[in-house]
Amino acid sequence: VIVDDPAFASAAALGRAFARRERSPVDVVEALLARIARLDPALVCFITVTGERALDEARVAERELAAGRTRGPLHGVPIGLKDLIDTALVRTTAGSRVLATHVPARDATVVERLGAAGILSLGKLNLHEFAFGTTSTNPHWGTCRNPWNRDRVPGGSSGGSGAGLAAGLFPLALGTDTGGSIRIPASCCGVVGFKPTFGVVSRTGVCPLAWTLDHVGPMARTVEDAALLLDAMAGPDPRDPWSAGRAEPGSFGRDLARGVEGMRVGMPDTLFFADLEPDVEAAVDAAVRVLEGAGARVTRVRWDLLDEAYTAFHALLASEAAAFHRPWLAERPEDYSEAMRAALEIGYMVSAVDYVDARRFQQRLRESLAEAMRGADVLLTPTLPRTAPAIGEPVSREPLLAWNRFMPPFNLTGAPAISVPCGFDRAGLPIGLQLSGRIGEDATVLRVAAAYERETDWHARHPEDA
Amino acid sequence: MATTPTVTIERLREVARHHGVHLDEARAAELLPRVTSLLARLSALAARLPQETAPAPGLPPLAAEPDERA
Repeated sequence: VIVDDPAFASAAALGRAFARRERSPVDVVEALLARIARLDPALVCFITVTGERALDEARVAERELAAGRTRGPLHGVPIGLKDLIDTALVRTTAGSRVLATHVPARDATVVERLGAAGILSLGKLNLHEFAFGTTSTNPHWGTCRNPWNRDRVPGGSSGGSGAGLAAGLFPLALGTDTGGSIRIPASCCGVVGFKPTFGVVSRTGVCPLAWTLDHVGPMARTVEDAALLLDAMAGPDPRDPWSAGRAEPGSFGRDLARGVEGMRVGMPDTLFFADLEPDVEAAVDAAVRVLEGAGARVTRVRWDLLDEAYTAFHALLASEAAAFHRPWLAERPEDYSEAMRAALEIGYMVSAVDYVDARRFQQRLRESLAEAMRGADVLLTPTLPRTAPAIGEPVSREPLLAWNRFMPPFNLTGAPAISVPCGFDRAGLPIGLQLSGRIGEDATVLRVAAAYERETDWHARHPEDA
Repeated sequence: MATTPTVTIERLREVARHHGVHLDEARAAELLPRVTSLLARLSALAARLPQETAPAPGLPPLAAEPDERA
């Protein structure tokens, strides 16, 4: 168990060390707070650091563990929370000026569950304004930077979550994913990001972007840590009507050690493998060979309708976001960035009929995914067609050229999808591998991701100056 | 068959006004190509959808009552 350096210890290892009284949660929180104080002024992963509160919670955890009262495998382990997730009496800005002074009275359901599992919050993490974007270049709270190259974006919208994990500021983070906002920063920062099946995790107390596409999920540096964190926060919530009955029985990590011998890995032969950066293509090809070497059977599968997925996604995203923001946009438009304001204004132009058609398309895409998965247990694709863009670099809005174009099919269908590190480009920037599965088969996706992780060491590499 | 929707700057401003949002002429002109592109793509998408007679096509089932959830 390597816990000598708390900056890059896994959450599972920390939890075990705390339970055995080999390490102190208070010492680890102090070490991480010192690291945050040293590195975060440049990286801007945090909007609010709640150091005193974290130390208080660590002291409580230490007392409970000393008394033999264990709340679970992550008891005493620190986490960073994306700052659109409500925390009682702690400012929750959603990365916006609109909510700059918003202090919720109550925790989000996921935060309540983390507390019950003994997980300690170090603070609230930077994000793209209202999660409506993919770079985390935030005009209100500062530009979040990629620890692998500070001139590059960490991806978004959960940029503070990805960058902070890569920089060793915390071992666990929460992200949200409406069109890739967990998986994009995971890919750009060389960490693990899992968007579970729609409905597995409650969104109550999480500032919405688009109700039919929003997911909350775990981010971590290992697949095991992501599975443990998902265990801590999954489950139905009477206050989120979409959360009904989606959680699988037992632990999400129950199959992590089973390997992939005889499993069928499908590569969708449209959309996902066009116009890749050469280094991304090479890394994904190598990942295929790794899984084949571990006993998986990799085949091509056909998934129809993908070319129109981005259009349906755009219509749902823009119109639902416009509905949510309508009162604020009408009363205080100047509090939005120009880019966000324009994206919302476009949402008003989508008619009700167009919206219904996009929802009809969503159902057909679910059916076409189910058909594609008749020949595969999981799907394998690159997470992104490229590595992290430079800060300020324009990114295409064209549906088939957008750098997040491999993301929306999994938000539209609600299928589980994970990004795990699978290499680096020649500039030293991380590359992500996306694995996805059938709706409700989250444990299968985690199983394949864990098998891949065991065969490689990409997840164990860290930025030099972090 | 897909038809290309006709959108004008005045139409954008009118729809925004309907939603309580002020859109000046310059902003509307900036948005026009993006809106036109999205609506054209949506029109093409709709043209390829079958006319469905199944109940509530594309909409999810109602959530169970809280006490019915596993």
